[in-house]
Amino acid sequence: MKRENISKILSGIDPAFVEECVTRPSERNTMKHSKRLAVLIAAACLLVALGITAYAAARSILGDFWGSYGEHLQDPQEQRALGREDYADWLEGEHQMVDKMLDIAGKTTPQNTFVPIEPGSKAGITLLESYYDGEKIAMGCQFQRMNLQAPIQFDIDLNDPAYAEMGEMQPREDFTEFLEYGDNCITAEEDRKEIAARLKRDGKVTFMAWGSWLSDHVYANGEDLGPCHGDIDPEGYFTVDPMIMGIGEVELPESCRNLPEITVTLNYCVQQVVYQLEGSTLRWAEFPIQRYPVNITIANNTQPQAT
Amino acid sequence: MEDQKIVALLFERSEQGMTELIAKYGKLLQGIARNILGNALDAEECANDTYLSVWNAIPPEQPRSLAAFCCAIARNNALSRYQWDNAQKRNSHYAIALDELGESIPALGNAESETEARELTDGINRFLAAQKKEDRYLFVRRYYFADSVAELAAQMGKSPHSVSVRLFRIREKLQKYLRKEGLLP
Repeated sequence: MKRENISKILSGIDPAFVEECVTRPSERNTMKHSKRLAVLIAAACLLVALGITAYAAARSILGDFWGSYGEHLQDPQEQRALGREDYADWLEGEHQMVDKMLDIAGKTTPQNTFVPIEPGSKAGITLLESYYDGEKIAMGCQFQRMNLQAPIQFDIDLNDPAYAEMGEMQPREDFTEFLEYGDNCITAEEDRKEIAARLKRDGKVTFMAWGSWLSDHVYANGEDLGPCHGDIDPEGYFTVDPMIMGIGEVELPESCRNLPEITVTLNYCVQQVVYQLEGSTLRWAEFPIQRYPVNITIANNTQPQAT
Repeated sequence: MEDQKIVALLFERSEQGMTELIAKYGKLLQGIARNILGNALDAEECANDTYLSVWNAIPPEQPRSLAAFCCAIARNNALSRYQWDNAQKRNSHYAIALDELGESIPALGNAESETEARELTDGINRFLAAQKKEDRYLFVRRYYFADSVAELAAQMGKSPHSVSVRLFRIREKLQKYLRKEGLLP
């Protein structure tokens, strides 16, 4: 009934809006082809210049991450959008976006602030660089995984009251891959070696590990900006996604603009997981997810700082 | 061919009118049905039903907008084929889109009376009228035409991620608007 009710409401959308949407908005397509091509070439040249400048000046996470996207765009093997009729427009738009991103990457303020998920914790997020000009924000960060402070626990007793909240053991079909690559909770090679050695020695191994990840949504001064951080690389580095933090197509909410500073909240999620490997089978059970808001305040780069 | 000419041909009961309508809007109507039904064969049948419905409706109907008129018929035909008893299955773009909207604005799913539904529809129309054209396009294509995020991204020349985020922001704004208007608790 729920979907049916929503569907009924949407059926009454004004026919004028429906008609308007039969053809897509195409402001950018009104550009003449020759002009498009010229802009495209100019944007590509500018990108190369900006890319070199950004890398030569200083290595920054934002510069590295965003610059590599720009390089990717120039790769002739990059065919993913070539089938599109508006490929030239798309590429031009992407280049313009990368230009803006690299411009910001060159203006960030270096930081080195570790914000733990709880006082004294080794798990948390380190802010390495930031940018806020009143209209746009950008951040380069490093994610410190929960397993830094809570290593794998072997020889556990599942009848211990500490495991009361654990869910039911579920079979998994990735036994071989798990031993070879681990998963979100088992990231270190030495852990995988230890698990394999115990399995070989005892024929069975049960252990508890911690998984940690970032919730997709990012908040600024309490406003949900949507899912807007990039992927976390193997070393924990990530950026606040450039596409929507005012740099690209979506503006920051009005309540977050032109302030002396802004507090960005990332939600750090932690979960205990119990694994049991026996012979060639793998089973696991999860605990409820715990969420820790990590608040990072960044100053407005364009306003004089109080001394 | 212009819509007015197609309508004139349909009024004359000329099959040429139907041929022109199919050439102009066939792909669009089939796309709506495919998005809702999640199945190309059913979508084709549904599109054929739509052509027949349009043929039967014009005359006497003389739609102000032929495109919107055909879209509404295609959508209604597809919805009546939609298996509501399979409501738990997210087997089409439409089901996913409805769930997306329902998760953001749960109160929409609880509007069971005709009056409540009509008030919310009117509220959504007023909200859409106040939006930028591009945001209106995204909302209508996603939740009326049931286009997937990937399709919208390709149409708009943006990344799927940025389309998702933009839709998320539009839903948030819509919820705030409907609350302010007293249409949501």
